[in-house]
Amino acid sequence: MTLTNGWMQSNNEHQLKLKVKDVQSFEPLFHSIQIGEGFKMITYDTLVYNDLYLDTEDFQLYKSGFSLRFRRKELNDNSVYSFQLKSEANLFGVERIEVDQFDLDIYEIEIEQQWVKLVHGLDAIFDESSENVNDFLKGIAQWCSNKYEAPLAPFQKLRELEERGVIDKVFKLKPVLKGISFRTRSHVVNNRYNGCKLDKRSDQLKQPKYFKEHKDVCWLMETSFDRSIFEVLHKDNHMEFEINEFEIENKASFPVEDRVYLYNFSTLIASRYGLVKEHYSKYKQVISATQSN
Amino acid sequence: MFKIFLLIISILNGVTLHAQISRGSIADYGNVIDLYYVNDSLNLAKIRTTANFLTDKSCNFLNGNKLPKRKKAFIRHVQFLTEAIEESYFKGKDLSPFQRECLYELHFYYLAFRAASVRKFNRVNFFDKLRMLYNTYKHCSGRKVKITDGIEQVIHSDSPFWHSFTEVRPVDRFDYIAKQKKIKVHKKMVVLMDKIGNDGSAPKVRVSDLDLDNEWNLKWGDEVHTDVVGSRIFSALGYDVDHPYAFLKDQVYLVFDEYSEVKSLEALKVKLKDQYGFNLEPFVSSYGVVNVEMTDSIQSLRSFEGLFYCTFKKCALEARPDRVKRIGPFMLEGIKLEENALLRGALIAHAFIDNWDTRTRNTLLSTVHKGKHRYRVSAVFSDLGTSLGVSVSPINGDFKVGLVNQLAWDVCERKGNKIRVMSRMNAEPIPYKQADYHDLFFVAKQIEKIDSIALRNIVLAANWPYPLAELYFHKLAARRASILQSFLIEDENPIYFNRHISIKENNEWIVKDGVLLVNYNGEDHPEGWISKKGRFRNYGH
Repeated sequence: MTLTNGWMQSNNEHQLKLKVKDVQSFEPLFHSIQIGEGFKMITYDTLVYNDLYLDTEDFQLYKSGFSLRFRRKELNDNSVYSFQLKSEANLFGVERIEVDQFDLDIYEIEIEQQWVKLVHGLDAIFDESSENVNDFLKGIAQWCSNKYEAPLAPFQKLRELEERGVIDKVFKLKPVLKGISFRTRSHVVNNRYNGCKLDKRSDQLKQPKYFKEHKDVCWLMETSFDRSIFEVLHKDNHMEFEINEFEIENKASFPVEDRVYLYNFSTLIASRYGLVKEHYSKYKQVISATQSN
Repeated sequence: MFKIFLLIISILNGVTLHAQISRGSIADYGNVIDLYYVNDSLNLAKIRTTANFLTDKSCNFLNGNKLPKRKKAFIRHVQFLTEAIEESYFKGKDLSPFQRECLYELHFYYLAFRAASVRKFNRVNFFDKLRMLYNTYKHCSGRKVKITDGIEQVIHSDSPFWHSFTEVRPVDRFDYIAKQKKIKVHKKMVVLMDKIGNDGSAPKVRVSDLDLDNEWNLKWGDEVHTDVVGSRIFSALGYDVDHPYAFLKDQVYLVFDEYSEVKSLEALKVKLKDQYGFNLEPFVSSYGVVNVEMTDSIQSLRSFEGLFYCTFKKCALEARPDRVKRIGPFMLEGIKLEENALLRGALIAHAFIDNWDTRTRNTLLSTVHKGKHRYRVSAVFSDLGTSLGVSVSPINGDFKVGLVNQLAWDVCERKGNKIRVMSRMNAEPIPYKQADYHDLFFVAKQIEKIDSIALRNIVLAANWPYPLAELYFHKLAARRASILQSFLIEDENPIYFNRHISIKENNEWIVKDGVLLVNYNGEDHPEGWISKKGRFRNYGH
């Protein structure tokens, strides 16, 4: 079986994104467990994500098929920050890139000659808890300029891409888009497809709680339902966009030709709820929409 | 009974647990600061070149040599150091003492990481062997150190190279460091086969702990006991070390599962023969399938019912804890460590245990996770098992360690205005060449603090059979005394020893007049106590 037709592959994983047009009729999916054809969904949490996307004045990263963002993930009163560079799934000639930088608490930004933690600056932007959100946005931009040659993984990757000629030299990154997403996460299992093995012994430690407690059940897929609102950060344009997406990611280490459950599950969900495939990242969708407006 | 008595004494005395081991200061060796300054300002580009080299995973080769894998913890720590240094640049301030330390540490990692990629640290060629041979016989009549007057009461501050551990008894330091590194060892160990080792000459395999987080090297051969003693003595003296543990018959269960590189004992034997020329067969005790009866007595085998396992007559497990990331050698050209008295003084520690393999590759700069994604740098003395009686056979290109009859009763001799330190070493890194009387005196003072109980515990940990343990105890005590006498150090913890010790069992002399006469219990100790046939001649098998 060849997984094409919307399925994206990176790092030996398969992912599919489906656009959800009618959220109200889709939400009941997460209140039921038995989906049909033996599939069972175990919904286990809802997270809140805040994203701050960065790009150049002329959207060079967008045009090159990349997105660069800060993310704050909130779960059970804990905030985890990351800085991530990603490529579009269907970027011709470039392997799918996803480079993360964590431990952002060591960095500081300068706001009106005062130095504050980068993560506190992100909080101020995401929570709009300061009257001077614009100062924090400028601080982030200045930080990008200061740190572009520093040993941060997303910047190292961008520099590598510049050297390889995949992208032009990146000048003056700044915040261009802000978003908030409510993500409902579920495991998908099916007794017809058990007997999968982990790639490494130590992967047992990374298994979610449900699969540690049910060792005979195979973790087939992971789904995320994102309800997101984005705000363009432009002095003359504060358009808002709503994007609702359902993402399916393969988790079992079956050979690709044996991953028929991916096709069966996605077809079942798509046809039942009228979902259509989405090929582009949220970032690309929003910026494309602003460019055409 | 005696062992239990000593154990109780140790427990009653207790180990005082304190906060994390302090990082100490590195100090500016060789004016590292100058390398990172231009026109009296920090050279940001130079700092970033160093930091990017250490963290950028897209850079995998250096001068044609493959660079070691960059572990996440190491990258995280380098980013922390870099950011601490850059703060000074962006805030327009001079480097604080802490930031200077970060800069030295960063540069140290840079040199160690580069060195780890160089071929000569991964393979021993003909010229390396010639050099080792030359060094071995260079000082066969002893290293002479001139005695200088005016020994001050020097106090050395803690550093990544040495810790005073003033509140931890010498005998407890090995376990204290192990606790910091979250190393947990049990009387019986169940470990999971991962892959065959691919470095060094001692046959070994990499195995996983049951927590799936930590790993071990499972080793066989003549270093099983000696590494344990060598490491414990070095840690008692204040140095950081690897953590090996000796196990006797059926104390370690090696389980083969679906993730093991080899899935059976036969396959393991073949691989070890290919990789090390080593015949495992004489060291195997039992082999079979884990069954219900076994899981009743050894609970940690419960998850592995139905899988193949094997046990051994003896072996060693050397910890490879997840908390410790090994970077590369720390005795390097480029870092003028001859200014570090404690490293120079380590020469006498090597001599004390008769360590032969003192090559730079057996020094390791490492990061130790303190928790919450913060790390401290530590210089580890590794592979201290080539000690305690070494025979080198130039014709066969072979060597054997742990030969008690080869271990001299004395280490040092004071003659006129010189001290003769008698030890054979296959390498002489610069700090050891530069070691002077003061350096050796300080470490000799640390040797004095190893008392009878400490030495007994160290020897006990090696798990030698009784006659060997006794003979080694007396010899180590005598060697200790010769060091103290040579340096005119008052022995406040004298240890009785007998150069003419004799031990009889079942009317047979096992040890007579300080010499081991028989290959004691050879069936259970395949490497042999007397034969000089070492690992390259399969211990005579």
